Amino acid sequence: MRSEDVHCTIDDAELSAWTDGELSPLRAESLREHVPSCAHCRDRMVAFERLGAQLASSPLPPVPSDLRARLQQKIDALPEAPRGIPGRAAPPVRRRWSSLPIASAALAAAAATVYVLFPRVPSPLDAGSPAPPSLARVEDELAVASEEEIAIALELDTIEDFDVISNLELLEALVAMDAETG
Amino acid sequence: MDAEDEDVQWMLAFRDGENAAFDRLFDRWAGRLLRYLERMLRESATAEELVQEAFLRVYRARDRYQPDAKFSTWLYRIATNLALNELRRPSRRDPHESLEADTARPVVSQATPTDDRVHARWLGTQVESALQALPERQRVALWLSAVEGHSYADVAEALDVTEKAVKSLVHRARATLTERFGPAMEGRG
Repeated sequence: MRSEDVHCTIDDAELSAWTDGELSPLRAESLREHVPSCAHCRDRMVAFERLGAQLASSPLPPVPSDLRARLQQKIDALPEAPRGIPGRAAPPVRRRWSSLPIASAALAAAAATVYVLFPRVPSPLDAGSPAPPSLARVEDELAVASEEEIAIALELDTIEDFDVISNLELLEALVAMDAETG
Repeated sequence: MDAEDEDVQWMLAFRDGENAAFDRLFDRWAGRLLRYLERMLRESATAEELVQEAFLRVYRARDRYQPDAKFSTWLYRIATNLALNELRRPSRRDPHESLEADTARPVVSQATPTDDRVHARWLGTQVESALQALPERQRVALWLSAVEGHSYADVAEALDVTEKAVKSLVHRARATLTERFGPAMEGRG
C-alpha cells in the first residue's frame, strides 16, 4: 500500500456522491485533487463508474405494441370532467397539508355529502323532515362509505387526495396540541 | 432545444389541447419507464399496468401542469409512488421479508465465463439479479440516480426521505454491488 493510501480519510459514501455530482463545488474540488494520487480512491471510483455503465447498458424492453391502445381505453373510460382552471399549479404532496381552514371546510363538505351518498339519511332541507342526524351518525355513515364513494362525492381528483381528508382529524389534534403547549 | 425543454414544451402543448403531444411524450418515455418498473417490480405484466397508470395520471393532471420541474422528474415520481404502493401490498410481500432488510440474496455464480461475449451476458444477468435482490429503497435510489440521472433532491422527493438518506441508500446499494461484482467488471472493456 502506498503511503498516501494510509492517510486517506475520504469516506466511501463521499466518493459515491461525487460519482453522482452531488458534492458541493468545494468538496468536489478537494476530491478532484486527492483521487489521482490515491490508489484506493481511484479503484473505488473506477468500480463505481463501471457499475453505473453496466446498469445503464441494460437494454430497453420492447414496449408492447398494444400498450398505447390499452392506455387509450383507460383514458376513454374516464368520466367526463370539466377541464380545470388553466394555469393552476399541480400541488406537490406536502402542500396539500398546509391549510387548516380548507381542511375544516372539506370536513364540513364531507359531512354534507353524506346526504347525497346515503338517501336513507333525511336531508334537513326536506319539508317536514325529522331532526337531522347527529354528527356521530354522519361520522358512522362516512366510516362505512368506501374511499372511492367519498372521493367521487367530494369531487376529489384522486383517491390519494382522500388521504388528506381522512387524516384531518390527526392534523387538527396536532394543531390543538401545539396551541396548548404554546 | 434539448430533450428536457422539449418534454416541457410537449406537456404544455398537451395542456393546451394538443393531444399529439401526449403521444410524443409516451413514445419517448414508455420504454424507459417500463425498464425502470420492471427492475423495481421484478415482473413485466404489472410493470406494463403501472406504465399505463402513470401516463393516465399525467393525462388527468394535464390542466394543472406547471413546468416547476423536469417532466421526467414528475413522471418518475408518479411511477415510483405506484411501484412502492404495489410492492407494499400485503398479498404481494413475502411475510418474512422486511422492506428495509439488508439481506440481498447471494446470486453470483462461482463459475465466471472466460469468453468475452458470454461473460458480458453473464455479468449483465448477474448484476440484474443482484440489483433486484437489493432492498427496494436502495434499488429505487440507485437506479434513479445512477441510471436515470435524477438528482438526490428529486429522488428524496420520490421516496419521501431526506437527501442525506438518499446519499446513504445509493452508497449502500453501490457498495453491495461493487463488492460482489467489482472483480468481474475489471479489465473488461
